[in-house]
Amino acid sequence: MGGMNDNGLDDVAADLRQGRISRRDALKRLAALGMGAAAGTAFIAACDRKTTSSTGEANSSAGATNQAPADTIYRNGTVLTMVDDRRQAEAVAVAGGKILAVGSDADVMAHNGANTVVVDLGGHTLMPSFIDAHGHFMNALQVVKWANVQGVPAGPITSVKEFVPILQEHVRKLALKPGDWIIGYGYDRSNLVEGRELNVDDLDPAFPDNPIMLIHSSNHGAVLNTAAFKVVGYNDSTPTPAGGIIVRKPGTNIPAGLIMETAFLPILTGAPKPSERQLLDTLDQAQQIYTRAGVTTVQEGATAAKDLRVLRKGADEGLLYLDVVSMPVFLEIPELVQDFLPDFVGGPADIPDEAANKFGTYNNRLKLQGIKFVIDGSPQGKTAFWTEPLLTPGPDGQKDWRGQPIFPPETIHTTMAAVHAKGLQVFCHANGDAAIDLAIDGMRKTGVKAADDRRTVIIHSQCMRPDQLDPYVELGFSPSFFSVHTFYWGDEHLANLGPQRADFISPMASAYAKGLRCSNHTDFSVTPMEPMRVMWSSMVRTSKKGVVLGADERIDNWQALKALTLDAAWQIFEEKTKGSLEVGKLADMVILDADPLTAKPEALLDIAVLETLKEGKTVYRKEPK
Amino acid sequence: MSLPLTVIGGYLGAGKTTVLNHLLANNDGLRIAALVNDFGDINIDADLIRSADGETIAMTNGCACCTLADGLATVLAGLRERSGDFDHMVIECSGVADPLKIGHTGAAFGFPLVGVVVVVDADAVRTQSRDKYVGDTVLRQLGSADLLIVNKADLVANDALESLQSWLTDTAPDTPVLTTQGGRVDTAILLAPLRTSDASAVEGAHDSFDSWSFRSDTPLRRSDVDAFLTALPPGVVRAKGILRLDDDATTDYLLQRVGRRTSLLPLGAVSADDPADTRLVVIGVPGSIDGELFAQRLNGAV
Repeated sequence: MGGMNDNGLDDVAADLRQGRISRRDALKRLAALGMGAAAGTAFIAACDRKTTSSTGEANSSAGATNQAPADTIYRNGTVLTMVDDRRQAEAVAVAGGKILAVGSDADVMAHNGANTVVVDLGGHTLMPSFIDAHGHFMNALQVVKWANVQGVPAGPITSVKEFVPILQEHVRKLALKPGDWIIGYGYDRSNLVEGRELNVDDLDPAFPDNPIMLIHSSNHGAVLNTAAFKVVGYNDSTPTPAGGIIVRKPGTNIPAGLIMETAFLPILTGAPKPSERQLLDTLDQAQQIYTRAGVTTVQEGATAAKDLRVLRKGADEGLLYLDVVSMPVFLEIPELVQDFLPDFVGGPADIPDEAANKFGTYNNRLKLQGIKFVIDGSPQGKTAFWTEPLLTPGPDGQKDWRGQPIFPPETIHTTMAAVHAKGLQVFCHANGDAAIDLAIDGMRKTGVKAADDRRTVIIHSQCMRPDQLDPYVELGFSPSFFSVHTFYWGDEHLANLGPQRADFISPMASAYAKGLRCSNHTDFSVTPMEPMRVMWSSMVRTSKKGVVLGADERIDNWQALKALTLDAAWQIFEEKTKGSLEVGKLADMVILDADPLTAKPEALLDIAVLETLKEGKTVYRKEPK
Repeated sequence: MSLPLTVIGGYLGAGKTTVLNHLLANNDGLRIAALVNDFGDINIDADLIRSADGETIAMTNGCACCTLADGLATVLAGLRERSGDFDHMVIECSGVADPLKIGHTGAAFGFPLVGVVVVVDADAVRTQSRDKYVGDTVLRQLGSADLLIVNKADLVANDALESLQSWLTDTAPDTPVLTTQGGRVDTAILLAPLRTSDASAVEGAHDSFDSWSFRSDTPLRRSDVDAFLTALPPGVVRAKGILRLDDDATTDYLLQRVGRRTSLLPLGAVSADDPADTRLVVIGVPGSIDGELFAQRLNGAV
């Protein structure tokens, strides 16, 4: 850079942009920095040409360079590379959507060409964008049309009176007409200071004409208003079905609002379903849920064949601007074979040899990565599968309840072996320790070893036993943990499992100590798309009531961040292109307003995403206040 | 009248599908809507297949087989529109499902549950009941049964069968047990078509049953019917009838009993001028039927 004082040039450029100095004054200052009049005029023109980032002022020092010119250079902030032996850098250069250079300011600025936009990070933090290590993208397509009635902090609700204004705002935003359904998600009495269920009298005055269904946080029930009860045909002569609940108004038989289980299931099944076109039309909004959070690789972690058809259509229509990684559910294999390899001749449970060719590469930003197995349910729903009974009754009041597997072990094991033998990666949902045993047994039967590098991912791995870590190492398992459970449901886990078992939930420190590579996820839309809260939870493991679950399992900032970036990329065989800022990798990056590596845990929750970039292109930029 | 629902449960490999296959091939004139997890093991004689698409096989005898690929709830919701096409619904559960819960789900969609039948593998069930993964699940299935069917009885010795019988009696008290092989259970036992003229003994595949029929042209007292049902011995595996009751002279009631589950549901309105014609068939293991006593109870004479 000809010995020029770069900072001086930056200052001039910044002052120019913000209108603090005239062009003439700029020329004078450039001359003082040793720049001739012609070069100075060109410099000022270049400043005019370049776009301004909300995160800082574009700068330029259009010096001659022998290095390949960058499209964009990011500097003057904290750069987290997520590479172990050189965690930080001073600047990053991007060209053609990939990282061109990363390192010292001087080395990176060597790529500052005539058309390079230099972004002044203004002290903010640039790092690899986050990878959604497990969640359900298809849910995002639905919830963008639903009102969020979750409790704080996942949603806005703290009391009964808040529902009406939130639903009114939802009606306005979606321009709903009288008679249209209003659907909300995440309702739970435990979030209400009143400690009672929401009822029709709370909703009817404001919504006499629109049927309302506020789906319970368990997804096993809902609160309806009177207009909705009319539509579904529930009234004071409707009997309560076996295995169900219809809460009645005191002293009457009139439905009061909440319906659960078998009383709810037919209602949910009968609710209007979005068409394929309507789903495709929500793809943009759905992706924004992720870009706002700094996430550019999205997971559809339990895909049905019909959902995959929607995603493929969206991809083919060019509607995806984030990478979507899909794991079809093992039950859907016959239908998938029909869709992808219609000429295959074989039994209904057979997997064609060429199936593996359909996995592992992106087509228009959609990639099939592996097959998803589901062994049990959820710990908070008490449908997970444990070895020892819970300390509290089962979901239907059962004594000595330890849950059960969703499928017979033989079924899981046979299909697992077939999938593995065809070279496909196994993703296995297992929450309870007995479900984890089943996964271990099943994969051990295949003869797999860590050295085979198959990266079997045990999704959730929540209620592990300490003795299960060694088999993970032996078989090359990689856990995708769910540490934010310690916050959202930590108090329930303590009550149901007792402190010893609850303290070992998502044991990230023990897993790292064994040399396992781990990711950490939100299971969206089970919990909100908030990478910083996930990170925070893995560092503090504090419940809503403030109880720490397993202080020994807390991890440091660096480990917590790797589980959201490089190790999450590794789990889906993308560590060569994503998860760290290294030359040749994709410029999938996020700019944060503070450095999560040095932040105290409690400060993490205040960190804001300023900009999200997918292969160098801005896919989100925070609006200035 | 909504379609009555029978649920067939039992652990993987017990023979649920063979029981169902046998029902479909020997449907006794009943148009059965069978809901199955997949077509993998369904083995319908090619001559009986009228048409087949991805989700449904329509049969020439009026039965149909639907997969649950789209989820039980969705399939049940769809079948509500087609209730008139069938006489009876049968759901075959997955190997670890609690069949009673599946029955409740069916009932929630308007299909009254008339029986939970749990099929067990004569040779394997006791081992399965001790399995570290599924033992408690298998025991819960036995506990949910209204009627137990011990299948593959030909594969175990007689004394083993007897020991299994007494174990089942301890494990699932008051639940009638039938033994069979090859999944062969008479449709009259499982679903009991409405045919009361046949009072002769119903032949099971492996067992012979006693049968008793009852007819009355005066309405029965509801309390007498309740007393009769309560007092039925556990050997009675099946009862079915159309009843007129004294407190509701304009309705015919359908009585269904499968094992220990009884349902008495309005069948339809009749004119008060229409003479009562109560018809009832009771089927039980040999020695369980005391026709004289049954008739006395129904007539309020006990």
